[in-house]
Amino acid sequence: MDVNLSKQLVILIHDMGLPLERIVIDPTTGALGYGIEYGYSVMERLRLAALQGDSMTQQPMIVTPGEEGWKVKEAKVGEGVPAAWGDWNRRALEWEALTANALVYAGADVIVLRHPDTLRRLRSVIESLSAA
Amino acid sequence: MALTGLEIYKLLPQTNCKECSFPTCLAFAMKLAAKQAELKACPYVSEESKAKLEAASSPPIRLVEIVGEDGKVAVGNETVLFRHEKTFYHRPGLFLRLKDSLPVEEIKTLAAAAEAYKADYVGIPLTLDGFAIEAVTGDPAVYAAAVKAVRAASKKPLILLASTPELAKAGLEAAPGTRPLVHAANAGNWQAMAEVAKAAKVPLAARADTLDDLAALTQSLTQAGIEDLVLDPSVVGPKDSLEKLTTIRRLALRKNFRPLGFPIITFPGASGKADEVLLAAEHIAKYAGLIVLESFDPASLYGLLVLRQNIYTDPQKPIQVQPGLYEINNPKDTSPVMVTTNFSITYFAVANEVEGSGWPAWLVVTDAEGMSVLTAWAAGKFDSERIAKAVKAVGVEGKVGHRKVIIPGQVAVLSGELEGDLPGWTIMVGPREAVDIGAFLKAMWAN
Repeated sequence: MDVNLSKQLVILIHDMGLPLERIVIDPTTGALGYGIEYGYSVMERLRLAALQGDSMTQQPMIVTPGEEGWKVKEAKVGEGVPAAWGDWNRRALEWEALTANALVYAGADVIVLRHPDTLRRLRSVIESLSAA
Repeated sequence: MALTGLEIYKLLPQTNCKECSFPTCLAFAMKLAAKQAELKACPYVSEESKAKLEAASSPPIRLVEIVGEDGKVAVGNETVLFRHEKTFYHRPGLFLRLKDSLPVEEIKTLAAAAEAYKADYVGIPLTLDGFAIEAVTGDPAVYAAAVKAVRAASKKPLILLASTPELAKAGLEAAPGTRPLVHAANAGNWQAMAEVAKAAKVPLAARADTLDDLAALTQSLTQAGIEDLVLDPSVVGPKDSLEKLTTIRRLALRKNFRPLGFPIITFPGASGKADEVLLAAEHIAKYAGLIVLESFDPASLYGLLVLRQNIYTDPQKPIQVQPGLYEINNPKDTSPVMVTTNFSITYFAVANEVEGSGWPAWLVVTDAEGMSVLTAWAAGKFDSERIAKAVKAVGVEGKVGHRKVIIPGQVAVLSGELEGDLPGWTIMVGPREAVDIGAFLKAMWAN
């Protein structure tokens, strides 16, 4: 979750002989409400650097909102939480989807999800964004 | 776009009269550029120069306020495209659409439920910002009754979705003492809508299908004397939204293009085709100022409000949690006592892992000025002295029968010193990563 460390890691791996086109960056983002803004901005900065020609930031980014989203209390806990959190089932699904969705806009290339419903929703967003 | 000192100098009289209290006009210009002086200190500046300088100093995206009886929403005045460049300032307002075709009692019930909504996120209260009341029936009397019904249940700011001047007037008359946004002027009705908005001194939304038409419309409205405008670029899906809203923000900031230098209103669920929650989430991250939702559902609203909070967090000022003693899973006098810092992410990571592990525990959150464990330690904000002070201050001694405290593995080096600062306590060194807390407690804490 740091632009410079990410870049440094790519440089070191590249120095060991792995071609740049075989490296994928995992910016290790958190879930919505648990620091997603850090990962979000790190990804935006990596992508902007890549577009400005920095070849050590031009690798595709893989993110794991499925794992992150389902790890947090908002997704896991149905009882003893504030009523303002709303219906547990839908809240849990929204948590994964909103986490993933934010990362799409931050520049994610590969998105690892858990729930088929989230997969369907995110696919629809991505198809819309990449339509001609 | 801010002018440089030299550009300002060219617009000044250049007489070095010193009446502004600066030795030369150039010195005064430099102070103006640094915003350390005000133009009115110069008695000789020409009207023409004054207008130019004022235009240059006004923000590229206008700040527009919608005011209710209780509270207001201020949007616009953003200065960057990406939050890491500085920060996003004015969180977009989230409004709920209510239609005047519903029975008055139902409008009241819906408004009351949404009005009562209040969630808490790390001590920050999250609520819906207001209501967007739509004139569907076309009858001014019915519309006025609907506005009154909402106002009976809530004092939050309002958006009046009224397609004709008569409806807008009826809505405004039903909401005295407030400053609602009137939506919307279009190519066909703008003169009449502008008159209504001007008479009531309220902001007006301008709606058009293309950005060219929108810019032409706002220019007409500006000439008609309306300053507080909101843009409705009638976006429909993720791609259309992203393209239009990004273009508007870029033109306003990078080109200082005044006709589109206003906050934006969106209706992510209006088409019925898009995924409303995800499109609203896009609008939060990418440049909407006001977002009107079609339905009230805490399960999705909570996530959107948290997202808004996250995106609009100042990247230079991380969210801190209140230092103090936190109880996790109803701890007893035999439960472990753990120490961490008040950086929100650190706190979340630890609290979440402890909670997920099922272990009851006392968590002592130390004031480390919002830094993570290692950063705070390196900066001298999470040392033995501070930890000892925090453990004593929160009074955990009175809550547990044992005298064992667990410190983060990253600061294992502090354990010796801490034994001296916390006499009678056994210092245990916990795992380096929060994710290992469950396994650590299982192995090390005899219960």
